[in-house]
Amino acid sequence: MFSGNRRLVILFYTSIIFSSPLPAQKFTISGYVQDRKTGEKLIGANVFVKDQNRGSATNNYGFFSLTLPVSEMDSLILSASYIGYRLWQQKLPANKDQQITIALSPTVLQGGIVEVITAILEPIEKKSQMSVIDVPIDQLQHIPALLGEVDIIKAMQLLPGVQSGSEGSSGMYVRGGAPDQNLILLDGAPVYNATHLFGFFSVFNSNAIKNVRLTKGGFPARFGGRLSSVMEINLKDGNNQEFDGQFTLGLVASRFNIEGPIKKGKSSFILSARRTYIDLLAQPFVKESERGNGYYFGDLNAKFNTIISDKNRLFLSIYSGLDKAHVQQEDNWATATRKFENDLWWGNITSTLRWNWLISQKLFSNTTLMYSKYQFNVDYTENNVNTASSFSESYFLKYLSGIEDLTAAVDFDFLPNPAHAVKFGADFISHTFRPGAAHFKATSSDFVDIDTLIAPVHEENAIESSVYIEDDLELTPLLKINAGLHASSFSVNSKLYSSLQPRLSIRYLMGRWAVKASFATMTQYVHLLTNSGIGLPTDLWVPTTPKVKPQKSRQVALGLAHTFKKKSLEASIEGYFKEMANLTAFKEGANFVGLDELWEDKITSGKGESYGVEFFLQKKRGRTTGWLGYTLSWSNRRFAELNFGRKFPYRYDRRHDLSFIVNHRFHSGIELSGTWVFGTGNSISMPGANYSGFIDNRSFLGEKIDDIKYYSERNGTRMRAYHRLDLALRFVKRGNGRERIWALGAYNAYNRKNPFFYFFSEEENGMMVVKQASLFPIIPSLSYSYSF
Amino acid sequence: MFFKKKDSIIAAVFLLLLVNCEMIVDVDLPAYKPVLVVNSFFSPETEWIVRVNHSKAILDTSAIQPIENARVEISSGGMAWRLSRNFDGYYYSISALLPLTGKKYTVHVSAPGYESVSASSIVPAVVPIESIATRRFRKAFGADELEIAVNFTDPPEESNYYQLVLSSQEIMSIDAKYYEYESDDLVFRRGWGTVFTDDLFSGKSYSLKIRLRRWSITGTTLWVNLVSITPEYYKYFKSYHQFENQYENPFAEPVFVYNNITNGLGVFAGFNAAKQEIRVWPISYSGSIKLRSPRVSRFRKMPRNSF
Repeated sequence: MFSGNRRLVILFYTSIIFSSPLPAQKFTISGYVQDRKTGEKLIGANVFVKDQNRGSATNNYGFFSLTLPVSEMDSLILSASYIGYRLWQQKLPANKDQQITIALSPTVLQGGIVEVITAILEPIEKKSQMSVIDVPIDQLQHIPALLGEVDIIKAMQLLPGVQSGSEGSSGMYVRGGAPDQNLILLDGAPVYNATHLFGFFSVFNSNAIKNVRLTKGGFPARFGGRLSSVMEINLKDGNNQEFDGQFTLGLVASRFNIEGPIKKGKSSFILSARRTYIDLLAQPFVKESERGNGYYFGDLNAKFNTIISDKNRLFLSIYSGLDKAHVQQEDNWATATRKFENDLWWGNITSTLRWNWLISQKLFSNTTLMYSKYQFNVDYTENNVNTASSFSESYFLKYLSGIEDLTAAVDFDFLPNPAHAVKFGADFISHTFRPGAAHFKATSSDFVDIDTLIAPVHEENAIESSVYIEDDLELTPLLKINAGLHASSFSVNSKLYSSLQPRLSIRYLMGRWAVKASFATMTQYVHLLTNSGIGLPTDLWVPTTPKVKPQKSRQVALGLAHTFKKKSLEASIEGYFKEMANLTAFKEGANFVGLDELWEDKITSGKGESYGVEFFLQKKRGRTTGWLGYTLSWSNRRFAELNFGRKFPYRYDRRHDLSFIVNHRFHSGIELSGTWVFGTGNSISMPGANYSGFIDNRSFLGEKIDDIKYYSERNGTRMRAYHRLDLALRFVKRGNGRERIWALGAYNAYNRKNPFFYFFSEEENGMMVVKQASLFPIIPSLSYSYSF
Repeated sequence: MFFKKKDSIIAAVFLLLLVNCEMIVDVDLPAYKPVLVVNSFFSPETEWIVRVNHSKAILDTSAIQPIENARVEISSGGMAWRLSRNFDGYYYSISALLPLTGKKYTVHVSAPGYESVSASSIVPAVVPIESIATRRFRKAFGADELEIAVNFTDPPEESNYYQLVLSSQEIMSIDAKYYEYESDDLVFRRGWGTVFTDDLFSGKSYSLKIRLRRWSITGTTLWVNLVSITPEYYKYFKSYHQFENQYENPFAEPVFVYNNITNGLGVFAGFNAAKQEIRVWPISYSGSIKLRSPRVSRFRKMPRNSF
């Protein structure tokens, strides 16, 4: 399939060997970049020596390493910059190895006035990677949100190439891919179900997040395991200088977080939690027997880190999230009682134990142990007692499904000289899939007890492993490439799959413009079975099996990137073509698979292709920030067993997708944000005709069959276009190191009736019409938050 | 059953909570030209009956009318017979002509204003029932159950399709009632009704076990019918059941009901039943009988406490 593999590997290694600089005396400056106030390590900060036009960016742990030739001059000026921070500069000796910690000061001043300083950032055109978007977390927090709940995934849906599925949902459809093709990493641990409340909210508590980065294509070799995107979410490490905290009271949920040093400058923690409270508020108003009824969701993030020595750091982060619905009822009659309880809950737990070891000034290692679990659970119990007839019976029913991962990984950053940034590593994942198990128990005074396992606890174990190597290398000042190789394997039921995935990104500079191109192949060994399209907790993760092949994709992208003169405006335009194989879908009519170990028979596999152009204009700094994203795209599927084998548009094929996000800070401490989105309607299957089936009194077909709907084309009808304006107004007051924010918001500000689904309805006048159901009208929100 | 409908229950709750308004919308539906709809299931024991009507555009609320001036012709091996319209206008038939086992038949239907349509199918050979064993046992919820094991041998080297039907009278007789039953047997797939294939026992002897509730049986005897069916029959029946299951769910992907009428819609398929009457018990029960489509559930018995 991938015939160019060998040539690429050779190119890769020869490039490493021959692009090494001529032997000369060199020295290395390495260290960390952090926030002066909190000690929080900064990811992606730019560290550079302006005179020599040499620079480097910090990795995910704030580490950088710069190896430079010894110059005739005795000293050099090292600069460091990061968005939202003042430029840092220091004179350093230019002839010896040294390790430093760079502390940057945030630009926010007392009294709510923001100092606007033009920091020098690594411009977009300098980076070899394409299809990557970093959105400052501060900017994400200002995006108006449904009911005021800041939502990272919903914010990501506003980026070009990323689409939301149906109204309000937190699913991501990246470049025509499916939601299961996104690898969502929370401090490196995969999160399998990133939604609360049937997809309306995502599970990430924005107060605890330091950094979010989304990669849509041109995947560097370190990524693997999903076809369409990688979303890295890094949690804050916690302030190691002083205690601070924040709480927010919102309409839906309240949040708090507290962070501080355990040992100043050495170790710190952060704890943050979020919970909805409609169920609690309602308690006093319900009958005693119904107390405890209701629904809530909550999240808890905890992270601890300690600096063991100059060279060793340890991190432990834990996330736990839960959605729970509880219904109980008790009915009492003269001689009888009936009592039932029904619990429905689902949630994720992830934990990451990480050890950073600086082996040398040029070699940084990161060893990680991770655990991730998603579980969906239903419990039902019922007790009936009749004292008059001395009858009693009880039922117990339990259903569960989920996935559990245990991962060990090691990653290295090797920075021999500024022309190379080599990353290599390996990981090993043990997956346990539980595609559904149910237990039914009944006891009664009237019949023999039943204790049935309706479907056994059907566990499927699989081992996924991978190794990778990549180098971000500057061949000439104008030509930079990121070449790499990712190899992975998956072993399930004594069947072994393996795949070799070459990756390449090229950047060529032409003045302030850069031309970028990339090629990436990806393999995915897990599949999500979902038949609702709205992200229900019953969606099931299943492995590749001897029968169900791993999903594969190939993507090429070509683009232009440019930073405008004032350097606060970045623009990029990218075209992509992606083909996908071994995609899964339910066969026509196949239904919920939770109870069935025969799920493999119910799915069918096919191909997909998507292509399009994305335009992105982003302003990251200044009083006015925001972006404009536009995507023109096509996404199609072809399955032998669906739509008569003909090609059909993907449900979320969206021809035009536009989003405009703007945030402005006024001098007075008032901030105004707005979002406007527009998208072509989803494609749905609408029957074109009615006809009657077989009707015969003598038939043993069962019910009379009539009124069959005839579909001429799958997803052949477009719903109306979707558009929506959201607004938010924040009143910020700062003083004495405290901050108070009142936030007012309106979701769907002009009350557009957007389509959610269509249905047929017969009107009173006998006419048959198509009706649209819509979900959210204008929804106001209010929240208050206080930081100390 | 709770599980079976879980997705739709959750979806329904969530819709009730959140759908805030409905409005009539214009949908750009392509113009639709009605086609002939032909439906006929045939076996050596029944005279030819072919129903002919027409399809209509989805928003058309007028009643579907039988087509009275159609030309309906059955042909096989160079012979052709024209069917005549029955007095009530709902179907076309021909007396004194019975379909023959193993023969391939083609139907041609034409009518003014419609494109002519055609379809072919055969009458499959009967697969005889070799023996039937019954067993009564008492089950939970106070119900007596009857287990019936139907033994037969699948013909080798061909794909066979079956339907198991329990009836109060001989199959196809006018007042026959058909019983709903349950089964753990792997040949049945949930939501596919009572049809199955020989995938699991191709060319071998098989003992198919089903259960039914004692109170559901009206008489003292019961007819067990092992119906050999054509692939067309199988696909139609299966897809119709799937269509019915998904019909009201706005989030489900659509089901395309199987159709083997060229240029038209409907189904033309042969079947052939092996029948055996068995004595169930002497007591006659009365009461109303549900004549719903046979339901197959898939409860697996597992050792106690193995959860």
